[in-house]
Amino acid sequence: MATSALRDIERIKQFEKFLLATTKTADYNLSSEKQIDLFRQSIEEGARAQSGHIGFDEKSMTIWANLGSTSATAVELFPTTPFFRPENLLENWKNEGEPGYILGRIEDSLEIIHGKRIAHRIRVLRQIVREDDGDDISPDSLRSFYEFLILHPEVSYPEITLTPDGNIYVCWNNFDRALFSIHFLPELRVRYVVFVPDRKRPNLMDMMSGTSSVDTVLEIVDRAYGVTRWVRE
Amino acid sequence: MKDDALPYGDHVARFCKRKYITESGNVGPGAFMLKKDESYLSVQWIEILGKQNHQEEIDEVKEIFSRHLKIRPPAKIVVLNVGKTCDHVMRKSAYIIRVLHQPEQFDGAHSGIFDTHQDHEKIAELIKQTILEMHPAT
Repeated sequence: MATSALRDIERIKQFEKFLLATTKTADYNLSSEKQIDLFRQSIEEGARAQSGHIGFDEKSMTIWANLGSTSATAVELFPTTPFFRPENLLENWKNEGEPGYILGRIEDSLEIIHGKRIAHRIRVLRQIVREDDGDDISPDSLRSFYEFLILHPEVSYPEITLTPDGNIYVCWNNFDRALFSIHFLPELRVRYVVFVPDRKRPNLMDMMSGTSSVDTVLEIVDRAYGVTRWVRE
Repeated sequence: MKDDALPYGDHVARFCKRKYITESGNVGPGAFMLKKDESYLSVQWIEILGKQNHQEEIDEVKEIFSRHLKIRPPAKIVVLNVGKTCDHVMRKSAYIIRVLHQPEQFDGAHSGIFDTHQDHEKIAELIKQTILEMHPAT
């Protein structure tokens, strides 16, 4: 391989390392809870700009600048060769950087009551999946869970496990055999299950399951069975 | 024979990976959910192993799983009664699931729990309620 090609590959690797390190540690100083969306968007736009398709707009420049004093390094390292693949960079960030970033957000949140414990538990599960399956947790599922926690930061600590596809599955059990489970899917969708003793015949269990969004799932099951009484602190 | 239904009085064992085990050491519903490319939940038919006692059966099941799976604590092996599990799911959800023999060349006890895709989460929660025994997989 030509020396210039080897140099290009080295630059790509350097940039990826920089980006991953940055996403784990930086404080982006953005006020909106949609920081992740903005950050992803900025990478995409940055990548397109470097590919010569579009220029940086003001918002992207601000976000890149918020990466800190290393923004110059980013531009310097950003390769402009055929070896550079923006989609690969985005995919790498999504798989490696985004879960770490979201877990950091959960852990550092002042609103999410059990944020530290939840983040720790998911990190343990992530490590298990990497060791056992050579895979990772689903970034899209984690993202859905994060959005749910932002909407309902006061929920009590649930049992957290994974599904075969690496999605987050959480469950709250009540003392009277009741349970409420949520399976977090990509695109902010969820599947849920509720088992509760029947109000008039407590020896019988009422059951409900369905598909919903992270925004409405708790409202739906609360209206039917008043689950917030026992899933909120 | 392949696709024969297992007798309702018999038992099956399922291996539950670490990612399905809760912090308190219980098995989560993920252990009874299908991967995208799976059509049934793999289990071992215990009675067909022809062992003298239950401990030998469990030891044999562990040996079979260890041939092709990474086994580390706190992974578990759970035992289900075929009839109890199928009945429980049907009574509580109206879904009919089946346990069918799926023998393989070097794994004659291999079987499968079919039709759980009708409602992955609900059926998984219901199967979980019918666990008879839980053993460390290691």
